[in-house]
Amino acid sequence: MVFSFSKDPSPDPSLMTDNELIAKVKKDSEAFKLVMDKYELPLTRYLVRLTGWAREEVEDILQESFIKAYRNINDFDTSLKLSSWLYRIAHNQAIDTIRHLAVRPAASELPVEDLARFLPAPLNLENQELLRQEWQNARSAITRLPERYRNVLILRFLEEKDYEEIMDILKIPKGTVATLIRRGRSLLMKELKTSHFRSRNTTI
Amino acid sequence: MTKLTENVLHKIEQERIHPISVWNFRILQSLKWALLAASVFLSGLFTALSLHIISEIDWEAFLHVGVSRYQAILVSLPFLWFGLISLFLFFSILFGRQTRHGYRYTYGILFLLFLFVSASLGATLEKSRFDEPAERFFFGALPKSDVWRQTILPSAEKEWTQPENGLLGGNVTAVDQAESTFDMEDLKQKEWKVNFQNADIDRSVDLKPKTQVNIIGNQKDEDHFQATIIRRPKTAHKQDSQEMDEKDDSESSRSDKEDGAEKEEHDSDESESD
Repeated sequence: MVFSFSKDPSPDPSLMTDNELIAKVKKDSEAFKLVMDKYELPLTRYLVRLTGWAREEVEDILQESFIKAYRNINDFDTSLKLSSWLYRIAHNQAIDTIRHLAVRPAASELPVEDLARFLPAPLNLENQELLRQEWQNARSAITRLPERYRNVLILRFLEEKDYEEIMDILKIPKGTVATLIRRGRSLLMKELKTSHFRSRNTTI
Repeated sequence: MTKLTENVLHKIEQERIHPISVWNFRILQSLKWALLAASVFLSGLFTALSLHIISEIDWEAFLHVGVSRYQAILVSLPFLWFGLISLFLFFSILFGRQTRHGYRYTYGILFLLFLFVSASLGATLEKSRFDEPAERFFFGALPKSDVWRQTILPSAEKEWTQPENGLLGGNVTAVDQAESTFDMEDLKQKEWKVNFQNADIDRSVDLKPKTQVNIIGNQKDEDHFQATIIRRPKTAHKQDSQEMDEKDDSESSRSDKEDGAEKEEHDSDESESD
């Protein structure tokens, strides 16, 4: 019986641990493509949610983020998750770009199912079959939220990150993460109720 | 391979981008830790100096000259050092947050942590002999004009250089027991003749040249002072106890050596008799 071993030139990055990936990149820069393969999709989705821009528009941010990650690969703290580190870099890059362009994030790209996940279960707007106008209100309410609340809400409810990961991505203490989520959510609800009331009055 | 991956790899290759050396990050981290350590140390040092000044204050003396407790606190507390402690605590928190995992702690927790470290360090330094040379160093760094010292820093020097208010401190230079007077040089190197007839002299005071004394009494004229109470300054007590400790240490080490020598002699005697 003859066994043949074939050398896989591109192993599945999803099967490798973060530390294995980083060790591989440190030895061989080509291996960085494994990191990009593994995180391109989730980071693109995150940047679209964060900026509210189209997928093509966030590509530049993501490209710059990956280059920054590559340059700083020796600064990677092995006590962190690689995903948290990459999210942090992408987040900072996005915030820098937004500030540089002096624009507010738009909510036009937020899909309806994303909007529904921000809200507590009993007040789920999706279940109440809101009108198109009201979804628009919800989108703009999220856009109007102050940046720090918006950031934690996106990471918690859309990216489904736990408190530790949010703490590492945004570089804020865990207690602050919890406070921002609680306050952000109640601010959003208040904003939604106001805009809902306003749209009802306009219709009448 | 996606288009984005291709673009990134192409840019890395074309612009010859390399990972930044691990040493750059290590040096940066070390620098942050060094700044943090320096800030904590300085805040501890100023805590030690504050404790030193507060421990030197003779509250009773203020009461003797009719200053209320509230006024005494107001004029005696080292507010400049308190300001510097606050400043370096602020820097400690700032540099603490800049360390790799500093962001995980709230400003409140970092404040309490560094306050505790500074207080412990300050208390340790104050107990050691480090506080006095440090105080001399910082006093030396301040402008020598009286206005500065009087207004910025309270000190034993300030408290005990008020002959007009009945407080005088300094070193005895000569004693005339027959006349019940002694000559002394105050903390600003001014010569005084002090009459100690009917004065209440503390038991710890040994009136002889080079003895440090604090006197409560009345100023008679430009260089004559009538003493009512004479005692040793608080710092002198500390120096005395330190000298005693040193003396004890040297005596015990000497007796240890003597014991060792005796034992050796005894052993050699025994071996000879064997």
